[in-house]
Amino acid sequence: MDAYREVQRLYAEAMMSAASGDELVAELGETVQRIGDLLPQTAPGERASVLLMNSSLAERLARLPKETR
Amino acid sequence: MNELLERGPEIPAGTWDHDWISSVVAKAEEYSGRPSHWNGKLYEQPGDVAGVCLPDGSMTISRKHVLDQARPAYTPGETLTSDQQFAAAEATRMAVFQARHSMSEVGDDSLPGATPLESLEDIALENARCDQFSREYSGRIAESMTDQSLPLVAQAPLFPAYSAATDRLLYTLGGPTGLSHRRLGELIDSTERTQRLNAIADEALDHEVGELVPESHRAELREHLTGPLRRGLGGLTMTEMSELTHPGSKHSWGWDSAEWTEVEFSTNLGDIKAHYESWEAEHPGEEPPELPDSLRETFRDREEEIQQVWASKGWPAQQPVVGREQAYYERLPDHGPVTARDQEIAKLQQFLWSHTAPSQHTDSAVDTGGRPDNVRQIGSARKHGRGVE
Repeated sequence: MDAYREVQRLYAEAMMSAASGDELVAELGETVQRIGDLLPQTAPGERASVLLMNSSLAERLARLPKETR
Repeated sequence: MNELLERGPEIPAGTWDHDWISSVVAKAEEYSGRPSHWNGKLYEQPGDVAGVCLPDGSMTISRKHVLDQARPAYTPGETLTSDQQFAAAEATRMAVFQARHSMSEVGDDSLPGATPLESLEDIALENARCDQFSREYSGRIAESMTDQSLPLVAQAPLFPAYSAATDRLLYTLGGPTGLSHRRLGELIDSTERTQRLNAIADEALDHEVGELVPESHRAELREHLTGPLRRGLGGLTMTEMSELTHPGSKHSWGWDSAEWTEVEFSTNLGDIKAHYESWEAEHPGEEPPELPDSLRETFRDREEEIQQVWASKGWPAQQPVVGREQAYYERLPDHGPVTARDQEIAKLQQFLWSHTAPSQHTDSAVDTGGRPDNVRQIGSARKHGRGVE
């Protein structure tokens, strides 16, 4: 599959996750890592979008209650 | 602590890196006319992440992906290759996106009627507005900071479905709110994230019904207007998620779906207006009653009709809300050959259900058959046994 499309799928899947607590923390962290692994396979013009999707996921993680992080 | 949340080293004030980010933020403030909530503390962002605006007001930024890529273009006397120019342009775009993001006030999502932070509709709207700003102003901000010519013209959206839908909504909601595209965008940008949908609803109510609505009615009326926006914007994450769809198609889906969001919003508003105006005509000066149950039922039927429109057009799905029938989300296309796209849509719908079923959230409203008690089943008689959703 096209790497950029896979990144979009991973991003949206994580954003729609109904997990909570430790499970959500793990899921978000794992998704950021997987998206990062796909970054070199994306076209140069797609990388800003990929990096900002990871920013969006990392910010969601940062806004979780402290005790769950 | 999760390693993603471990900030890298602080980037002190007075360094080139800190000065550059500060300049980007200052220019973004100048163009937007609004202040940033960045507190001036900057840290390196580890990993493959552009940067993050943290809840304490500080910001992280990637040295590898942003600062190091931007620096040659903003250093006088440097001669850049076309690859370096492109990399600097993309770095600028990310920095401007984050600068704009730092201007959004978060708000308190524990208040009644507030949009939950990091909900799908909040993420869609915030990303769309930051995307729009970075596309409109990255070129001008770069020009004001360097003599290098960076390729920042005619950029594609970073989030095509979010951006297209939001952009179109800003045009189509101009009628009901009485605000231009730009004014409506400014209203959204200047309102805290948790109150943006309420602000749009309030503008429409004030514009169309004005003083006819008692303040005690407003909370319910808002819900009938924010509901279409919430479902329409939230549903776009499913569009962004589609594996088989080209970004251009996602843009088109976002654009078309916004039309239906506006139809539901405006039709609900028209019904609300008719209720209050007819009461005023027949009982001038008397306080009007709340909306009749029949009208509330109409709103619920309309919500369902719009959802059917999404399904009939082959869009993945609107974001479901608690109380939806499982059968709807598990329904396979029942006409024509089953294509790869059909299979994908069915898979997404099943995924949606499995992650958002009412029973995943609460079991307090589920009958003995495992079905929520506040919804009817597809095909069952309408208007009987339906409680308040």
